[in-house]
Amino acid sequence: MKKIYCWIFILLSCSVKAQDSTLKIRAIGVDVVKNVTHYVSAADFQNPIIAECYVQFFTSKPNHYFSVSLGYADMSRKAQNHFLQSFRGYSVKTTWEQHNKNNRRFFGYSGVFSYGTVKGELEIQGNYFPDYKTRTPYNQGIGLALEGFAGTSALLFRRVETRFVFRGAAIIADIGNPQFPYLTGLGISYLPEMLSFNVGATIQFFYLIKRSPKRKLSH
Amino acid sequence: MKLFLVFALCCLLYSCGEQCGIEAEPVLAIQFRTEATISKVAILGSLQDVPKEGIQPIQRPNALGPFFPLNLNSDSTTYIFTRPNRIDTLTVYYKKHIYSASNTCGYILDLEAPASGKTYTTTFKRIEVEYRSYYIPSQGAKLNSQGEESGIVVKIDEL
Repeated sequence: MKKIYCWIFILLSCSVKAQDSTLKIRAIGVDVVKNVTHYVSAADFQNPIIAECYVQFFTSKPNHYFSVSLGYADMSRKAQNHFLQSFRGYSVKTTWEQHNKNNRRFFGYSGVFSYGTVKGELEIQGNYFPDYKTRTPYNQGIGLALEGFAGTSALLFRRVETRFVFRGAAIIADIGNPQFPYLTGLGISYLPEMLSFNVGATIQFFYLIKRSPKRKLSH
Repeated sequence: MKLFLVFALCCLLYSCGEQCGIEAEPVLAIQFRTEATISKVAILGSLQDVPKEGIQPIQRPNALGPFFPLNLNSDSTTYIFTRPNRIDTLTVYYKKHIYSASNTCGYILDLEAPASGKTYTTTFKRIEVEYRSYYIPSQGAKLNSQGEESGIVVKIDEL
């Protein structure tokens, strides 16, 4: 647990340093796709609950924004037919992004800190003897990732920024695999190794604190 | 995209031969090194009888079989062999071991020889018990069906 607090402290202090001292909030947002993909994809995650919320700040540079996001994930999966794992994880993500001043495209990068715990249960079905159940050792660990992304957004009612984001991340993690191939704040870790990667697309809704001004068409 | 598919295929092939420990009720393999006729096998605590078709020794040299289930809810399993004019018993002891075998498998269940004490008790004259891991790594993967290459093997040398 000390590890987590230490990392949260480091990430937050880095992010605060990077900011204009006023730290004016531009938007608050949520990720709306991460849950859905797990319900419709082939990945065998059961009962996933994934929440990711963002607070985005103005920076001293125009069209440059900084955001902090907190994530939570709770799910289980049958690793093999006989091995049930329950995962719970938390994440802190700090993001820097730059918006194109002529259109609604943007790009940026994020630093992600992810913490997860995994509980496992082996169940061997018996034909001649009663079924055998046992717990596997409780496991916890952290993951760090550097994520790059690019996307575009559409503005609804000049207030709700719907963001379509394509992203990819390089991951170093001592949890997730082999214990559980998922990292909160990132998604499925594709390689069963300490060094892994993740790519994906998502949709985010950002509620702008200040209504976006009407665009004037001028030559 | 092509590169990614090739990479994914390589990963898949690499992990193909790996057997992640005990995934179903494990079996004990018996190797009769002498001629024997078994008319019935009973297992203590078993929910059902072993079918008669599956109890006869395989008479090829070094061949394993018959195979009998092991009780995971206990640290030993006792078999009662009925032969013409004689009944023999065999109790095999083992220890369950859960460990993280590899990145692909994660935690697995395996059976090992007990850390101390006896490995078997029997009324057979001479036997030998061999403990092979139920986990087979992907390197040098061997085909593994019905415990042919893994698991506990009892070699009966003399009845």
